[in-house]
Amino acid sequence: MSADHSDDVKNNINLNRREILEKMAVVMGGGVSLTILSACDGGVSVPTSEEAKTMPLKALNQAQLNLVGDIADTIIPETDTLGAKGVNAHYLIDELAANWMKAEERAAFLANLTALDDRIKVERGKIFSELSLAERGQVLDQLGEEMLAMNSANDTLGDITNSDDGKAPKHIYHELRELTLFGYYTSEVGASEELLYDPIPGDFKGCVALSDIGRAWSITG
Amino acid sequence: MATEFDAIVVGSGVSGGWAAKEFSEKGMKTLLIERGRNVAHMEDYPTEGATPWELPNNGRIPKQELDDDYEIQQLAFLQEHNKHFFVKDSEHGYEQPDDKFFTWIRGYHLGGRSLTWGKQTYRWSEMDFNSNKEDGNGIDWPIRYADIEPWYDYVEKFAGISGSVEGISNLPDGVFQPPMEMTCVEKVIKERIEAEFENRHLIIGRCAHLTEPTEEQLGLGRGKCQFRNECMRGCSFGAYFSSQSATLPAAERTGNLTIVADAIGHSVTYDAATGKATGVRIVDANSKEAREYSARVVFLCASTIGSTQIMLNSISEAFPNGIANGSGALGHYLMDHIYQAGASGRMPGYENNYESGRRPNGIYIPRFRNINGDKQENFLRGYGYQGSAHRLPWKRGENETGHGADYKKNLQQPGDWWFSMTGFGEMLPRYENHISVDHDKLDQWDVPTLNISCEFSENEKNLQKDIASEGERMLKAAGLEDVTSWVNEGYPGLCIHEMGTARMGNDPSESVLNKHNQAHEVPNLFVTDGACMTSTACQNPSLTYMALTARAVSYAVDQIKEGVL
Repeated sequence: MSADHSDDVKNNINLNRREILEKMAVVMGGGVSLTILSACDGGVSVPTSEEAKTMPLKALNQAQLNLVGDIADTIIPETDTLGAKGVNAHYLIDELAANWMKAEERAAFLANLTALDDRIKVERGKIFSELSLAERGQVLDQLGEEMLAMNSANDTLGDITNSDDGKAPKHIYHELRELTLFGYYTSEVGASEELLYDPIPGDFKGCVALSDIGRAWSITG
Repeated sequence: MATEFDAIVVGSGVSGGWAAKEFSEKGMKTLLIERGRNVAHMEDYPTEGATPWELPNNGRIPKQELDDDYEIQQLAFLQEHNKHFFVKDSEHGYEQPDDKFFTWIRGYHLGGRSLTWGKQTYRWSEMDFNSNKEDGNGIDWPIRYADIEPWYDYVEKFAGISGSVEGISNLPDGVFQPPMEMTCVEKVIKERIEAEFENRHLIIGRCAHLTEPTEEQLGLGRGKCQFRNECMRGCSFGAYFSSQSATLPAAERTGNLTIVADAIGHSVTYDAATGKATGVRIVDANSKEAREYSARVVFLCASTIGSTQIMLNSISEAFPNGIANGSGALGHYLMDHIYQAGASGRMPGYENNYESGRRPNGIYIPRFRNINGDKQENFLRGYGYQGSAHRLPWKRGENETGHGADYKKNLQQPGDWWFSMTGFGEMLPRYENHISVDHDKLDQWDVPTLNISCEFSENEKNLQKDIASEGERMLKAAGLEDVTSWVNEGYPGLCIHEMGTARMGNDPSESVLNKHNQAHEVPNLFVTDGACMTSTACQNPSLTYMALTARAVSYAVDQIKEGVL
C-alpha cells in the first residue's frame, strides 16, 4: 500500500496476466500474442510489517487500531502461518473503514470501537492490549455471547430495524469478526498459505477425498 | 439506391455477435454498431486473474459509490472486479412509476452482456412454443420446435455447450461437449430426488463452456475451461462463449465486418416510397453528433428494451407510434423470469468429501409442473431450479464465536455441506407491462428518455410460492436438515432475462415480427434479440436468441440473393 496504490494493483494484475498467458501457451499449444506478453512487465509491492508500522492511518486512531489489531489477532493468532496482525488485517480494516464504509457507518463503527475500548477499561481495569491471552479470551467469549443473543433477537425482530439501510444493527464484535476473517482470508498469506489458493485449477473434480486435498480452498466455486 | 453496407447490426452482445458472424460469413458487407466503448479480447480484461489482495479494498466496492452510481446495478452481480462491465445508473437512468420497480441490469461496451452472462443454455421444447396457444395467454408463436431444432444444432456446435444427454422430453438434448462433474452431495441428492419423485430429474447444468474444444473453436483461439469461475472479468482462454471469444473473431476473419463503437443507436431511418428501412441513425457517444449509415437490411440486436426503444424512437408519417408498429403491440408484453424463491439445507455427513477446481456451473432440475399429468389449480406453466452443493468456506466463522489457534485450525478445514437452489419461473405476457419513450424529454445525447412499467401478476406469485414449498419438500425427502425456503417479493428484471416488447406472431394486427423475426410492415427490418419473444418458457433464453438470429440471417440473405430485399 505505497503512495501509488493503484499502480501496484495494476502491476500485480499484469503479473497474473503473465501467468495466465503462460498457461495459455501450454493449454492451447502456443500462439500467444507477444504484444500482450510484453505489456505484462511490472513489479510487486507488498508492505512488510515494519513498513506497515509507519503507514498513515486513514480512519482509525492509534487506540482503535490497537484494539482492532489485538482482537483480530486473538481470533486468528500466529501459528505455523502468520496471524491477523501479521498480515496487517487491522490496516485493511482501517482502509475499509475509510473507503468502503459510508460516512455514517464509519462514524458509528469508530464510536462503537471507542465505546468497546472504554468498556473493557472499566470492566478489566486495563485496555484489551494489556490483557493476558487468557483474559483476552474471556473478553471475546463474553462478546461472543452478546453477539449470539443480539443475532437471535434480530432474527425474532424480523423487519423491525432501526438502521438506515433496513438491516438490523450488528454487534460490534460481529462486525469485527466479519472484517477480521475477510481481511485475513483475502490476504495473500491467509488465502494461499493458511488455506489453499489455485489461480488456474485447469480442471474440476466434483467428488474427491478431502484427505487428498488437505485443507479448505480460500475461494470456492 | 446504393447503400454503404449490405447489413447493419445494432448491438454486439449474444444476438448481435451472431448476426455479425452469420452475415460476414455469407459474404455480406456488415456494419456492427455498439453504443458503448470497444473491449478487445484479452487486452481489455483489466481485473482478470487479480487475486483478492490485489484489488482495491480486497475487492469491495465503496458503498457510497454503489449508492451514487449503481443504485440498480448493485442488485445483481456487481463486484469491484467486474463493475467496468456494468452501466452506471447515474449516467443511464430511466423512469418508472413509484409503485412498480423494474431492475434493468446491463453493460454498454462491445460484447455487451455476453461477457457477463450466466452461460446456462437450455433448449426450448415443443411444449414451450405451444403454451400460449394452449392456455390462451398471449398469442401463438409463429414457429414450432421443428423450425428451430436445426438452428439449435447449428449454434450449439459453434458456441460449444457442455452438458449431458438425458432424454427428457420437455428439455431436448443438444450437441454437447462432455458434461461437468457433480459434487458428491449433488450426486446423492440427485439419486434420492429421482427415486422419490416421479418425472423429476436433477441433471448437471448445460452451459456455454468448452470442455472439449473442437478444431473450429481452437482455430478461433479458444481453449478449454480452466475452472477459475472468474468469468465475469473476461476470459483470455476464450473458454466461455462471448462475442469477443467466438462470434466477433469469426466475423472479423472474413474481412467483411466493420465495427463502430461509441455509436448510440437512435432510430431506424425509413423511406415511405419504398416501404423499407434505409439504415440507422446514431449519435456519437463522445461528440454527440448524429450520423446515418445505410444498408439493405437492418438487424436490431440491442437487447430487449434497447431494440424496442430504438423502434419507438423511429417515428415518421407512416409510423407515428414507432416503426413497424401498426399493431400497437410494440413496447408491450415485457416479461422476465421469476427468480426470487428457493430452498436450501444442510447435508449431514460426507466429511471426507471435497471438490477441486471452481466449477462455473451448477445443477438443474427441469420443469415438472403442469406436464406429464401434473395439473396445478392455482398457476399456469412452471419453473426449473438451478443450484449447487458445496462445503461452507471460512466465511461461516463470522457467525460463530470461536477464537484462537484451535479455532483457526478449524477454519482451515471446509465446513458442512450445504445445498441451495433457486427457481426460474415462467412469466405470462401481459399488455400492461410495457416500455414507452418520451419524445419531449431527451437525455444527454438527445435520445428520447425511456419509461418502464412492469410488475408480476398473481400467476407469478403463486408460482413463486410453489417453488419454495416444493423445494423444501424435495430437500427434506433427499435427507437434508435445517431445510428452509424463501420467497422474496422481488422485482421483474432481476433475473436479467427480460423478453418481449416486439413479439413474433402470425397476425400483423397483434404482433410486430413474423416467423422470420422480420417486421410485418418493414420487410428489411429484423429483431432477433429478446424483444422478439412471444412467451418466456422457464429456461434461460440466450441459446434461443442465438438460434433465432442465425435462422433469421439465413432467411434475410436468401431474400437478398433472390433480389427481394
